[in-house]
Amino acid sequence: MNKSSILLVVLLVIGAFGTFIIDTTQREPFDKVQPCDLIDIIAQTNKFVTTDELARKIMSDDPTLTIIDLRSKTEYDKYSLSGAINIPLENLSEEKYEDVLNQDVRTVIFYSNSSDLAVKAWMLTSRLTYKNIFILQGGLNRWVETILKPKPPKETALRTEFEMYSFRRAASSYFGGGSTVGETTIKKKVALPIKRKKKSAAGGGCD
Amino acid sequence: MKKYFIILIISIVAFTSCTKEQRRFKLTVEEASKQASEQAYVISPQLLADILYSGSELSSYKFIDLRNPSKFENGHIEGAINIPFRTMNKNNNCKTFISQDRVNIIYGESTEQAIFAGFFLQQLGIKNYFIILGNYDFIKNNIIEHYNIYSAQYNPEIAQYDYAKIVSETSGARNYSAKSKKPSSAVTFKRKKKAAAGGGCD
Repeated sequence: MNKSSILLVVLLVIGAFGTFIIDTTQREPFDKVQPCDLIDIIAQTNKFVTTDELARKIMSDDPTLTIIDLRSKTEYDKYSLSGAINIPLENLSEEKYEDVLNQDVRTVIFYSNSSDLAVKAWMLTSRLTYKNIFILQGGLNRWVETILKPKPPKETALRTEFEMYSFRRAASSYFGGGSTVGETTIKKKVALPIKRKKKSAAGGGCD
Repeated sequence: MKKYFIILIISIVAFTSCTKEQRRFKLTVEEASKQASEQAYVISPQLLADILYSGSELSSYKFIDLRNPSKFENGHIEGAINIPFRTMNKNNNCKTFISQDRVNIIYGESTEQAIFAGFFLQQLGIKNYFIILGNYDFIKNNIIEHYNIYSAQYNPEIAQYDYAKIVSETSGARNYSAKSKKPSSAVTFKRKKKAAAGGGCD
């Protein structure tokens, strides 16, 4: 009784370790980040930018800024932030976008109508261990409320709020003015790399 | 003797099943991104109000509050349990999310936090949950205290403005297109060299 029970316990312990080891060796290649770690990453990293910060970045012509529009193509065509690249959320993991998203130096900012799609996209890219990616908090809806149509603060408000308001009014005239006019020319430039066919050299002259 | 054996096996299986569930994503990144734009796991405000008001179905649902304990103590949905977001991956909390006997309804400090939690569970392949859009204050003011016509349509992802129209409205007189600055720097272009135009006589 005693001997056999000890033997059993030992066997079970070995078995338990065995399953553990097998488990870890069977990791799928796509899991760069494990679920447990992902929660820690989400809880610990700073992942949001406010609309004011983004407006400041665009206005100061920050060369390291990449803005990604996660909505569908039709919504993107109607309106997008200046310089934004359209990557619909369904296509996020496609290979052609990897160069844009997976880098160290640039600041990538995701936005959609609110933060919903951006939050999901952020989660997927952090599973792929991409760095320097941020979510525009509140998305385009808050962009309209704070930047394009800022509301004046109450008269009793703090001075900082008035300063914020005057910044937003300046931003409003910056982003309101002309961006619909310049839109088409911008979009052409933003299009993803297209392999162009070689133009045949213009013939001519005498042979 | 046999009893010990059975108990041991059960405990080991129970232990590993929970950690296993936590250790691996069921969906690959591609699959997850395809499913991401669906809002299948969002509870509609109507259903939420039904559950809260009638109380009869309450036994088949469990509310989970993802906020910090201090905020939880200041007020929460009746019957909710508190699992702060950063402790979601702890072992005994994962059992709560996996258990099939009740449908979990998850809400947090913000819509973003609820979506983080919900999308996380979706990627793990867990199915018996809903998330509530809107933070606790929104739920309290617009659903628990007085349910109004706007509560039913709450969905932050829907565009609330006609963006292009607003831009043209606010544009005023300054209609220069100087803002078409070079965003092209974002993408590297691989252009093939153009062959020099031929011509002339040699």
